[in-house]
Amino acid sequence: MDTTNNLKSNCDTYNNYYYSLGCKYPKNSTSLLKELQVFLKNKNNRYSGSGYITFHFRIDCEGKPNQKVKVLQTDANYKTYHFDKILVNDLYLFLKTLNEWKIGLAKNGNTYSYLAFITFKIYNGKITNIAP
Amino acid sequence: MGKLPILLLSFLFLSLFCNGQIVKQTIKKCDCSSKIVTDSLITKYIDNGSDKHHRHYSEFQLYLDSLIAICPLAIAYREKAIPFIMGGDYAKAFPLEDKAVELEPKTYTAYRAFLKCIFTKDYFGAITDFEKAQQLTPDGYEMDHTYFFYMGLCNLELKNYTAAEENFQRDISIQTRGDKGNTPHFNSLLYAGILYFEMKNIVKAKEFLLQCLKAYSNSPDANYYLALTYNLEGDINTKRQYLRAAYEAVSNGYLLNETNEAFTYYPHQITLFEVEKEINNGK
Repeated sequence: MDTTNNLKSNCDTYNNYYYSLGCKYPKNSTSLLKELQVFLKNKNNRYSGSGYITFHFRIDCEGKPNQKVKVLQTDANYKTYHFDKILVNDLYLFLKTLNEWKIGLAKNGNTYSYLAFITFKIYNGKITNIAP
Repeated sequence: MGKLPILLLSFLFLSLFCNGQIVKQTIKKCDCSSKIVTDSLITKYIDNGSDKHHRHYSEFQLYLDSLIAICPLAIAYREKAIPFIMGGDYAKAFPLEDKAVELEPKTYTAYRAFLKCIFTKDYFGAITDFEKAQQLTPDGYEMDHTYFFYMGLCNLELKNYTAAEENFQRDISIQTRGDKGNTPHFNSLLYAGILYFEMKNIVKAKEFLLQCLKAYSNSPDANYYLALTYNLEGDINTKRQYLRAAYEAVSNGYLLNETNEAFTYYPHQITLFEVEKEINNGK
């Protein structure tokens, strides 16, 4: 996983989260899940485990995601867990295909970078849901 | 790190609120079972403390840790978990939620169930918790809705349609208390309509979605699923009419009307992407 920080220097790094700027990814979980299933089918890998894999990252002022990500993994009971690297990497590659992030436009007309995350819910190696 | 400020805050509070019960550095504990004491603590450390700070900043946690150091109140654990839930850090959030439930199961079991249903999409876990909540506080409400509303959402997503139907019927019956003159929450009507759409029960889907639109005419979701319902019976013109209404509603900023919608998509919730996709499918 290439997690080099590529955030533009002229973009602020306030602690804004996506929800304070109305910036959930503009497709619902069902639509994203369909895209993911096509993506993973092409990978043709087998996965295992149940729980959650969450990628945290920042969206810059132009709506582009920073490559620097933090990965959190838990089992289905929310206890820290480690999935196979192949699954984490495949989900990260899928994450990089998401290129319709909203620009963080505040009511004052300024644009801001913001913190976002995507959680994949996994049941017996199958992705069953995507949040938020 | 952080222990000294916690101690100082605790010490300051104790001297003010525990009536000077500090003798030669021996701290006599507050009576944490006293409502007067706990209400005072909540006012000082939450209402005038953590709530005055950004939830993702350390001061927020510091006030709550100080409160816990004095009295381990369930609400403090629940509050501490909020930024972790909002930030998708479930390994940190749920042990705190579990602690809140352990301390005050009647108050927080349904809240944890709500988080599992809406935030982490753990539908089995949410149903288990809501069933416990129903035993503890029968026919209770959480975040504006009955427990059965959320169980209905979970069963809808799990495709347990018969169970979901029973849940939504119970949800509506609790709200109306059997009086047809009482109108249920428009999202109870919305989700009952979506359920019947999924069950391909066109008559009932239309009935509930139209009732929802009577209460919230700009509901993007009710318009969208009503369009799909008309599509099921081949009425393309009416389908287009409701899709157009859904498109206008989303474009004008109308959303599924729920307090926590900003944080996460609700089950079956649609966006402009899904509406446009359906419009393009019909061309």
